[in-house]
Amino acid sequence: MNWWRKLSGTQPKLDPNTILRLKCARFHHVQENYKKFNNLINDAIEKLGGEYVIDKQYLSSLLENAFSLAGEIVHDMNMMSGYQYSDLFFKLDRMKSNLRRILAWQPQIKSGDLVISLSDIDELDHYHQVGGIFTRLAEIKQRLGLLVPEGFVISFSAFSMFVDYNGLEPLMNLADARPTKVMEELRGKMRVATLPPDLAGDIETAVRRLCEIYEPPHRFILRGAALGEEYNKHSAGNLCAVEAVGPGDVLNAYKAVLAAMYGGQAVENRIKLGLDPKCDVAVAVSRMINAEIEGSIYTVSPDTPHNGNIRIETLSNGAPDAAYEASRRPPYNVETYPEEETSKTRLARRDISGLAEKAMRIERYFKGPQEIVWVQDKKKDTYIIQSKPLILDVEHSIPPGELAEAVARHESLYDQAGKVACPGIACGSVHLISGRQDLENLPENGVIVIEKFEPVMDLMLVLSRAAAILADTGAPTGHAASLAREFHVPTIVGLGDASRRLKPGDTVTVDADDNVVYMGEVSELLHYQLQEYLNLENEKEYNLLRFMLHRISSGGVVGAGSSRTKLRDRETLDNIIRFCMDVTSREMTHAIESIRAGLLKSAPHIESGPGLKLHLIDLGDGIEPAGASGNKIIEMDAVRSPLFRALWEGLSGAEAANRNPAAFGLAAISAERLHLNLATGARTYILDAYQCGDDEYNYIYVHISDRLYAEDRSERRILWLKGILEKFDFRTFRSDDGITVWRYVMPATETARLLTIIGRMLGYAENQDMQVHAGMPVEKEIEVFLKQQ
Amino acid sequence: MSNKLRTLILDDESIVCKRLKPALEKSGYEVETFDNPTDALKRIDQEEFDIVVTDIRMDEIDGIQVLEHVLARSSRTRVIIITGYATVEMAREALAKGAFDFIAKPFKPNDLRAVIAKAAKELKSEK
Repeated sequence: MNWWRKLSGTQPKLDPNTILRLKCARFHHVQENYKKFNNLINDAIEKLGGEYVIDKQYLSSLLENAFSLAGEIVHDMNMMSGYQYSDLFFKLDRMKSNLRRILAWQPQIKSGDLVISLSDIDELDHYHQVGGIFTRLAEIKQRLGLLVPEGFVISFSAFSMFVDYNGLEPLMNLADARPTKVMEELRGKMRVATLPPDLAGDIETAVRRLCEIYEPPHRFILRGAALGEEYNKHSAGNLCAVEAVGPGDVLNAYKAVLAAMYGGQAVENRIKLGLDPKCDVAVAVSRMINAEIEGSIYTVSPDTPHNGNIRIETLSNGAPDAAYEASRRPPYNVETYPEEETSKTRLARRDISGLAEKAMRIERYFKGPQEIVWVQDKKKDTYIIQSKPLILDVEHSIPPGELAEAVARHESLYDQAGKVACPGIACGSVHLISGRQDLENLPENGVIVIEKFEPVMDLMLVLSRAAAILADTGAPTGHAASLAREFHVPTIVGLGDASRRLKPGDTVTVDADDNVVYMGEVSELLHYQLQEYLNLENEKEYNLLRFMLHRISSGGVVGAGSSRTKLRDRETLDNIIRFCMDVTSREMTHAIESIRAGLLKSAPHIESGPGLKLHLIDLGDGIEPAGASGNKIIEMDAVRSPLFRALWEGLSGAEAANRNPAAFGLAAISAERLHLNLATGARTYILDAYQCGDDEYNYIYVHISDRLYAEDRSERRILWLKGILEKFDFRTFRSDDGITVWRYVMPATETARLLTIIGRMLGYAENQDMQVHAGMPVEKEIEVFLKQQ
Repeated sequence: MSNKLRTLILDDESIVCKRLKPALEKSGYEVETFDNPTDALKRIDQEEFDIVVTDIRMDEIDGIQVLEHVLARSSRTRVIIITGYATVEMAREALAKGAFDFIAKPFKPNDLRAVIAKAAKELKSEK
C-alpha cells in the first residue's frame, strides 16, 4: 500500500544511507538496461551490413525488445525523480505506434509537415511522409549532386487532412478498380472539394517561394504517388500527372491529381502491385523545365543487353528521334554514333559521355539498371526528371547453376576475411587513399582502398563516385560504415592488409553480398548481377530495419557535400534514453547533496594531500567493518572495494599534487560497485562503475558537467577529456552542460585499469598546473597525457 | 539430369527466399524457392529434392508437417529447419522426427551453406 502511505504521510522515514543505497541500485539498473539496449542496437546495425537474412519476425522482436528496455529505463528514471517526466511514457507510446505502422508499411500517424521542399527531403526522415518515388528524386539531387527540377512535395499528412476536412474516408474505403458510381462520386467530390485553409496556405507559400527562385514563365508539373509504389519495377511511372500548371492553378491541379489517383487505371495498378486500392497520396509540384533536348537513358541497352553499353535516346515532339550508345565504364566512350545529320536533336559526343556518366552514377547508387528521363535546357544544364528500375527481359548469359564454376575460375583475394558493412557487387580499379589529396583524385567508379576507415567529412564528398570500399580496419557498426550505407557503396571492412596487398590501378571485383574480393573483372558475376540481382536496399525488410534504427538510434549524416551537411539531431529512442541517463545522474547528485550535512558528520573519509578528500559510504563490503562509520580518516588498507582502490591509485597520483581543492567528494562503494560524486570548482564528476566475475556485466559510466561549459577554456578541457576517453574505446555523448561517456562489457582487469587512468585524468585535469593553452591543439595535449600513461 | 544438389527453399516471408536463392546458386546448387507451403508440397510430390530448407512457423502448414511430408516421399532427402527464437522447442521436435539440422533466424547465408555442405557430404557418402 505504498500509495496510501504516500497520501497519508505515513511512509516510514528511511535513513540517508538506505536512500542512497536504493538510488544506487536503481541507477545501476538503468545502466544495465542501457547496456542491453546498446547491445541490441549494435547487433541490429551489424545486421544492416547486409550479411544476415532478416525478416519481419526479427524486426518485430527488435521493436518490442528496444521499447521494453526503454520503458524500464524511463520507469526507473521517473522513480528516481518523483515521476517528474511521466510524459515520456506517452512519447514512447507514440514512437512505438509509429514504428508499428512503419512495420505494417503504413504512413505514420499524421504529424509533420504538409509541404516539404525537395531539397529538404531526407530518405529516412520523410519516406513515410512522401513515399519512395519522390525520395528517390531527392536522393539523386542530394546524394549524387545531379540537377533535379526545383519543387516541393505535398505530403501524405496533407492528403489525410484533405480527406478528413471533406469527409471522403467512407467513399475511399470502397475504392474499386471497376467504374462504379461510388468511384465516380469520389473523384467528383475530390475535384470540387475545399482545401483546408492551413494546407492551401502552405501550398501557396511554397509556390510563391518557387516563383521567387527562378525566372518566369512559371509553369509547374504535378505528379501523384502512393506509398510503396516504387517497390514494383513496373510502377514508377507518371501514373497521374498534370502539366503546364500556372501558379494560380496549383490548388485545383492538386485536387485533379488526387482524383486521378483514384481513377480506375490507377486503382487497378495498385491492386496489381499488391497495394491497398485505398491509399494515401503524395503530390510533387516541380518546376517545368523549358527543354531544348529531352530523352531517355537505359543504363543497359534493352535490345542488346550483352554488349555492355548504355543506350541514350532523344525525343522530338514526344517521338524517338536519335539513339546513341556509350560504354558502361569510364571514360564512357561513345560506341554508336549515327553519322547522318537527319535528327533534330543531335547530341555532341562529349554530351553523350556526360549523360552516360550521370546515368551510371544513378545505377551504382540504386544498384541496378535504370531507365532515366532527362531534359536539357538552353544553358545545356541536364536535369533528371525520373529514374526507375529497368527490367531486362533476356536469357541468362550464364545459367545460374553454372555460376559457381565460372566464379571459381577467378582468383579470390579475400574470402570471408572481413566484415560486410554495405552489401552489393561492384568492379573497378583500385585507388589507394592515404590522405585528403588522394580522396580528391578518386576517379569515377574507383574502388577506395584505405587502411583506417574513419568518418572524415571529405569522404562524403567522393562517395557518389566510388564503386566500392575495402578497408583494413573498421567495423560495420562504425560511423564510416554507416556513411557508406547512406551512399549505397558496397563495403567490406576489417580485411587486415588490403592497403598493402592491392596496388593502384589493379582491377578488382567486390562481392559484398558474399564477402569475397576477386582479382580482376568477374564478368559472369557482373552479368548475373544485372539480370538476377537482388538489391537488398530495395527490399522492404532491409529498409524497414533502416527506418527503425533511424528512429531508435542517433547519428547519421545528411546532405553530402553541401552546406546542409550536419549530424542529425532529432527525437530518437536513444536520445530519450540519454536524457534519462542525465536525469538519473543528476538525481544521484541531489540524493547525495540532500544528505551531505549528515554525511560530513558521520562518514569516514580518505585524503591525499591538502586538495583531495573523499567521504566514503559503504554499500556493502566496501570498507573493513571497523572503519565503516564515524567521521574519521581511514587508510587505503581499510578499503576493500577494488574499483575504488583502482580509481584512487590514479586520482591520488603525484602529478595531481597541485590540484584544485575538491569542494565536496563522496564515493559510495561496495565489493562490486563504485559511485563517485566529485565537485571541484566549476566541474562535477559523476562516475558509476560495476565489476563482477562476468565480463558481460562490467561497465564504467562518467558524466562530467562544467558550469563554465560555454567558455573556450572549459570547452577545450571537455574536448581533452573526450579525446582521451575515446582513445580507450569509450562511447561519448556531448550534452548541454558537458559530456557523458560509457563503456560496457570488459574483463575485471580492464575495468580496474581504466578506472586508474580515469583517476589520473581527473587528477590531471584538476591540477592547477595543468593549463589548457589556447595556442596548443587539444590533440597535442591529449598526446602529452597519454605519453605519461 | 544435372548432378548438382537440388535444393528447395520454403519460407512464407519471401525476403528469405529472395536472399537465399542467389547465395546458394553462387555455391553451385540448383535452387527452387516457394513462399507458399501448398505449392511447395505439390512440387515435392512431383520431384525428389536432395535438400529441403523450410521455415518452421507458417500460417497454413507448419514446418513439421512439411518435414513429415518430405520424409514420407523420400527418406534420403535432408530437411533443414529454419527457426525463430520462439520456436526452438518446435525445432527440437523436428530433429526428433528426422530433420537433418536446424538454423536459427537471423542467420547469414554462409551459416546455411555450412549446414547444407554437411548434408551434401552425408548424401555423397550414402551413394
